[in-house]
Amino acid sequence: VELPETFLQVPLIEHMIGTYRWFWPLAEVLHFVGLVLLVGIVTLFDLRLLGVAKRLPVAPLRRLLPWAVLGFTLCVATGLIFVTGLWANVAVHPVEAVRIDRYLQLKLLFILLAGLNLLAFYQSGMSRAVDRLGPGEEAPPLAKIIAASSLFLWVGVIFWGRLIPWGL
Amino acid sequence: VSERGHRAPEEHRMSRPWRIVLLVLLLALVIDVTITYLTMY
Repeated sequence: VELPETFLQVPLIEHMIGTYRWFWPLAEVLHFVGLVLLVGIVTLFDLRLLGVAKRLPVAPLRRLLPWAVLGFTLCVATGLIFVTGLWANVAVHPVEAVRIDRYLQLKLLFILLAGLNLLAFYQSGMSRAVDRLGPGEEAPPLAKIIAASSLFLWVGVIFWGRLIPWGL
Repeated sequence: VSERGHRAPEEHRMSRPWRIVLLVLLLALVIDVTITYLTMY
């Protein structure tokens, strides 16, 4: 499939990056704030399911999840700025970057796997099962496996994200 | 943990959840670094 030359290129974003020196670092700061919200809250959840700080009940922790969703939204929005802004930043076409950068590919793969892992958490009924966990109660083995996978995958997402510039 | 919150001596050793968490984190880094090394060239 031949993609048009303009695919993933947004002139306004390229203009902002080229004209204002604060634009790129601001996007990075927001990307990291999103990362902290998303991975921080997910890790808190994973740790509790793995048996750390077992005196905490699980259901109230759920109230933090909208903040994790906000974090994910921030990361996707600023991540798109980085990809669409590649031409203005390092003169690599975004489509070419997705095609050649194996670290970007690995990051996207790990995000996809984390998404499937989350889907498994809901589909397997573990989500409802852990909701009933009161202080001191142990999560079911499957919930622990999903929590450990989540921890593993999000560390990977951060790792591959950090390596993206070296894959270009 | 006793009623007054004191831990028995054997509980001062690393508890099981922490060992699992550290193992997962260590595994993540080892696997990521290995993939990086293998895809370098």
